[in-house]
Amino acid sequence: MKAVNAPRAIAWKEFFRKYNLLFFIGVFACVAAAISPKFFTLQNFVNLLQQSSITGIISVGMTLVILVGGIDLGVGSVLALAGMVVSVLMADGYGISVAIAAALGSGVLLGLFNGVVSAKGGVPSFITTLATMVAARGLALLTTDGRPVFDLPETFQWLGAGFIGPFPVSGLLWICITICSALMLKYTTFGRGLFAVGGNDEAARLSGIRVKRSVIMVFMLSGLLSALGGIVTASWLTVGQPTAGKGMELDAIAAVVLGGASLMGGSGGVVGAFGGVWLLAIITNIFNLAGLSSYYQMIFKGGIIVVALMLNQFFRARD
Amino acid sequence: MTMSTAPFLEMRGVSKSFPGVLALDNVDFTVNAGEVHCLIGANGAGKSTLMKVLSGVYAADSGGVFLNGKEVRIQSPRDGLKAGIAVIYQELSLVEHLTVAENIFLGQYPKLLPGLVDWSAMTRKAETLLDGLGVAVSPDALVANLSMGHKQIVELCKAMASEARVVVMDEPSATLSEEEFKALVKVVFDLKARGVTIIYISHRLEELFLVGDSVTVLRDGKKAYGGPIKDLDIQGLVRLMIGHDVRTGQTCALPPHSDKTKVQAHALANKTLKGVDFSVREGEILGLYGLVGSGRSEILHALFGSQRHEGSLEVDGRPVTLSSPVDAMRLGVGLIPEQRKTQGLILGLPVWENASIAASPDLSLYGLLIPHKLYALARTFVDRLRIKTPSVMTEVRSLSGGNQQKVVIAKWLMKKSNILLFDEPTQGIDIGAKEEVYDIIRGFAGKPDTATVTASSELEELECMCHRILVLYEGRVVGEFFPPYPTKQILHTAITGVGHESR
Repeated sequence: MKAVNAPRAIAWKEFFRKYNLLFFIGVFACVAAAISPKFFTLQNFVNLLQQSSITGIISVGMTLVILVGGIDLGVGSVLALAGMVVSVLMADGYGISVAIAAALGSGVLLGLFNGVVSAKGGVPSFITTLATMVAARGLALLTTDGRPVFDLPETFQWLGAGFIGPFPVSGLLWICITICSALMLKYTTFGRGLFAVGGNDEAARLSGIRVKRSVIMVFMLSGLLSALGGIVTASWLTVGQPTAGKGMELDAIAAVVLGGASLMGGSGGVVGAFGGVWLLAIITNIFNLAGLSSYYQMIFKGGIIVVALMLNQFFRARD
Repeated sequence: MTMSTAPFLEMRGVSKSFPGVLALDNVDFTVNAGEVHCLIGANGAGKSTLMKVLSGVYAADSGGVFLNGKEVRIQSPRDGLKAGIAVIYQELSLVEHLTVAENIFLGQYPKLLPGLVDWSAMTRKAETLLDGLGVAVSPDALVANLSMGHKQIVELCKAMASEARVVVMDEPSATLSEEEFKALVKVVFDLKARGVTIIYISHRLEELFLVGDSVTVLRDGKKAYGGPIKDLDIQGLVRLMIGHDVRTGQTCALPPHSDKTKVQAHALANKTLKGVDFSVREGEILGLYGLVGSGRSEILHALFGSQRHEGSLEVDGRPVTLSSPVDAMRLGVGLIPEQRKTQGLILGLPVWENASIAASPDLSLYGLLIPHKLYALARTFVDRLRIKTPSVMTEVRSLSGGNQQKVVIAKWLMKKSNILLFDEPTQGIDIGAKEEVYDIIRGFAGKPDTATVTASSELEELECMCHRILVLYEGRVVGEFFPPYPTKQILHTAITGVGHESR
């Protein structure tokens, strides 16, 4: 009896461990649908997609960093800085593409800094990016002495507020980035190398993987995507806001971890993070649809992160 | 009456299954009070599972543990400790950044008041324990600064401090030098004299006869023998372990090698190496022998570019600079490192990925991989090297040591490396798998345009496999030997550093 049942029980646990995120999303979607008939409408989904896209884009970069066993606390500040760079340059009369390129460049540069200091300098990325988080926020505020930048060109708003058919451009951008990253992680030597580096950096090094280079690349990608998030934010708000993206690093980390990644590195994926962002978005949506204060929302979100990860741990098949 | 005749520790009819495997099949395990009882078996025979059941890490499906004839319920490691059973695992469980005294009393600090640590009592008690064993270690020393041998002894003190009646030692000698081992044996005998019962697990069969009173042999989850060790010899043990005889080292036939020099090293030096010159010829298997710290591993890491070094290297007559593993791999060099689990493999990744990790850049098209091709390729290597795994998608974590080692070797064969460096290629793997690894190494050396360097702390293994053995002593080459190997002379050279040559 036992011998027959045991493997099946483990398979079931394994299944739940792998797909518990879908389970949670399903449960909360049902709750949302029960609370409000508005939940299962195209309009609501489009709104959710648009609202989540910025956190979503940043979570992709965060996933990569966490995959190699690092963390990037600077994403929110880099987002704000890139938003200011793009806004200030456009306000000064530079072309949209020049402004965007400069903003993305600023993100990559900060990522390069994070990566080099962490990988070559041996400083834990928690500390490196904590410093970046503080310093980049300061830089963002310094650009205009803390004032927002208004009157961004109308064509620039397409990125954050525009639509292709019924779908928001920013949401499609998020989906594209997620798909590209998922393919990159599965089908490129660079992507597979990240799992190796995160899983065991010494073995990776002794197998000819350029560990430091991979870590630096990953932080640059995270910087790039944070900057992209900043550009989308500025475009969506039609304002360059130096205080944008505060606390966003925590949303991103939560989404990545809900998506099944290990903070120790070596396991996780962008599709999981995609689901994690959706789960958080649906919970917010439920509270909004029910007309409850966002304070409750914050408490509940904290709770669900803990419960989800505990269940994950609980269902982890024992080796 | 029955009480007095009951053995001290008894496990009766223990069975334990994991998905797809019956790890223990109705095993009886009997240990008498105050003896050193050896537990041996090939990897996967169930030794560690049995000990994990004993210590409460695993719950058995059936069967029970009896102490002095009374059944004890051990359902967690805590229960095990309470029953007086302490386990010293191979990858010791010491806290590196705490002192020796703190480690010894971890979790049961002497207290002044509830919650207040009595440091002076702790230091004093630790000192008493260490002195009693005649070990020159300060209780205030940081564990991180101790040698492996001393760490083992700290673990033993920890077991004594918890008043353990049974101490399980899992492969204590695997990471020790001869001298450290001798010191450990002394401590083991000391404990035995104090009435502590010791269960001793080891792959090094010779040492069992040195330390053991009785032995239990497991094979495929079943008990194959249990009784006094003096009734057996090594061949007998081996027969019991694997069910058939294994040829001994001296009769090995080696493929011939050419006279063309493949690798030439000149004046290799770094922190450990003090100017090493040697060459390896095409088709040759060169053995590096020496005590721990003599520079065996360092030579391999220098050849692999993974450790900084001075001096010059030539491959195929051309001078080369190796400043990273990537440089070395470009020249066809591959390293099978000493620490399989921490240096050789990424345990959480599947077999196919570990096997293809080095070769995948060559097999990719501008960085793009075709997973199915890699799976298929990995499968051919799994077949060729006879790696026992449910599939190539299995995490290497769940493979036995021997099969894990074969995955590491597959990594370099797939990369088409033609200079392979083996560091302790058979450490911690069972005899059957050892023979297979030797066959793989010989097979590799038999192919054209290859060179092989093998470092090992087991002389017997090198004698059986190498065309030539270099003996190292404190970072220098002090002897060069050719078959038939004068074992005693080689040992003497390695221990004393006084050179001998056999030509």
